[in-house]
Amino acid sequence: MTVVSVDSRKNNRLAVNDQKFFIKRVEHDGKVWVLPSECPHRGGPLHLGKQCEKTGAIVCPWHDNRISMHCIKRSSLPAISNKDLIHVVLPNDNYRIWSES
Amino acid sequence: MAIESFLSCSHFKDAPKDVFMESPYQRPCRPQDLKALDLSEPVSLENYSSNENLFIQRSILNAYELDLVFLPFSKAVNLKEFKTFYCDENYQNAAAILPSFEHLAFSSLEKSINVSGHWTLQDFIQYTKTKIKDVANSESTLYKKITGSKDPESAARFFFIQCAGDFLSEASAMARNVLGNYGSATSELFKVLIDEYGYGVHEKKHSSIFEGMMKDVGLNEMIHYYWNFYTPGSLSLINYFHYISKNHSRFFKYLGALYYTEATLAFTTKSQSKIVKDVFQGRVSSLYFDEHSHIDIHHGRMALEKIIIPLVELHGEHIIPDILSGFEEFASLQDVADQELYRHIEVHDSLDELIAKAKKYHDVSGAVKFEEVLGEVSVSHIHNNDELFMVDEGELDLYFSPDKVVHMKAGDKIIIPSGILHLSKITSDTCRYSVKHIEVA
Repeated sequence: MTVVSVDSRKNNRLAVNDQKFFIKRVEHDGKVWVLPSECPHRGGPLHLGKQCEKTGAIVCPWHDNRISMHCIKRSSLPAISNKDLIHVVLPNDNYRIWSES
Repeated sequence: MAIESFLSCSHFKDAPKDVFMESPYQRPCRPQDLKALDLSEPVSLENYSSNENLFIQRSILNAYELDLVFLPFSKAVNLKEFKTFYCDENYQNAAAILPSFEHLAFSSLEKSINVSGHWTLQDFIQYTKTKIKDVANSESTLYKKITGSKDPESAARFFFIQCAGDFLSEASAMARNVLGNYGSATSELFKVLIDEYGYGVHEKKHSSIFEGMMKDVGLNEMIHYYWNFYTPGSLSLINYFHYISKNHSRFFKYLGALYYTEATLAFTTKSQSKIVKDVFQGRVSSLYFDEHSHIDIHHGRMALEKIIIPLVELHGEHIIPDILSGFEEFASLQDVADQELYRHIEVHDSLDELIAKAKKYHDVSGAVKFEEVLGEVSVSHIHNNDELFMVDEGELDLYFSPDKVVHMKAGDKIIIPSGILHLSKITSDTCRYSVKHIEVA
């Protein structure tokens, strides 16, 4: 296991063992989450999806499936943030971090 | 307002007769500042060295410490003072102010840290051990700041004063958590507590060892003798432990903060011991810090292995986010208090420069004027802007610490930087002085 620190002002993407995640502040709970970016339907890019203001669900840009935040959070990574710095616990050192707008 | 009622008690309201407190019940909070303070929003961490935070932290420490027993050590108690401090009205008013003042003091801290995702016990152990290892491997900034000061002894004494409010009543907040019964972890925490209390041998009690060190370095060992010289950050470290210990809904946070502080003290006290040895050249015992370098290795291990892990295994991983929050919140608060201490040491080293710089300011229009009489002492405070301080007539002593006192007479000026604690004591029959906000380039 390893702990990686990410400055969320500089980077918003993370991959570990080829599984991709995106860093997002969720307005409904005010917390910063490291969420899986692959849609459970066909692997669409959830990090590019729009968020429903009312429910918080993310709409996958591929097939317009609404994935509830509750469902996405189930596969999130353990993280603790202090202002802009987010510390994430990963299963191993096989990770990369990058920025994607 | 409840705060006005609470601070109407003479112990919290009256200006002291001298710079240093004569009894453990004397804890002035400058209630006269209340109208000028902005208490509409929680104090942000960026604004922690503000007069607002000083007022808030002093007020809540007074509320929390009504639960602790203090008597003077070296003279008979003044029973009237004792009873007016521990009176029903104070308890009622303390209960009325605490929720809103705790919110002002700590909600920004809580908001700045958040825990997300599913944390397993293994994730928790990995994260916290990584963070503790980082502390263990980092160079001590405190050592560099104190030994690098122009006056290392004075800087070290100012550091000990910042510790005194906590260490002279050491582990009192912890004692709140050994009441009740939560299984075997209760007894494990009790073992930590009895180490802190020296197993009933008074000389071994950690606060007694600290008292000895205070005396060795020429400081007074009475609790809150240096009330005027506690920075807001130092007060917040004491208060945070009361905050998470008084209301037991925060018990799991307490466990995280306990783990962080015990595990990291095992390392940070090594450099603090070196400060005592190097600055005082063998004239002062470093036992207080040496004791912690040793026993806190055990306490850090006990907090994790004997208290946190068994409780998570029994009650489930859903208690981990609170434990982590406490761990991280205390770490963050410690950083804020450290930065504030370093800034005070830097300003104490540069008083001559601040006097020289003040001479360049000639426009004194708009200055606020004060007139005071011999012996009058102001309760220490902080300006949220840089201030030009000028004596117009008479003389006074301007205190930045017990060691750093600037004697000023008519015509003298100094710049008091924002966020820096100070107070004045009039040393002539009367004294007139002026204060003006300035922008220092």
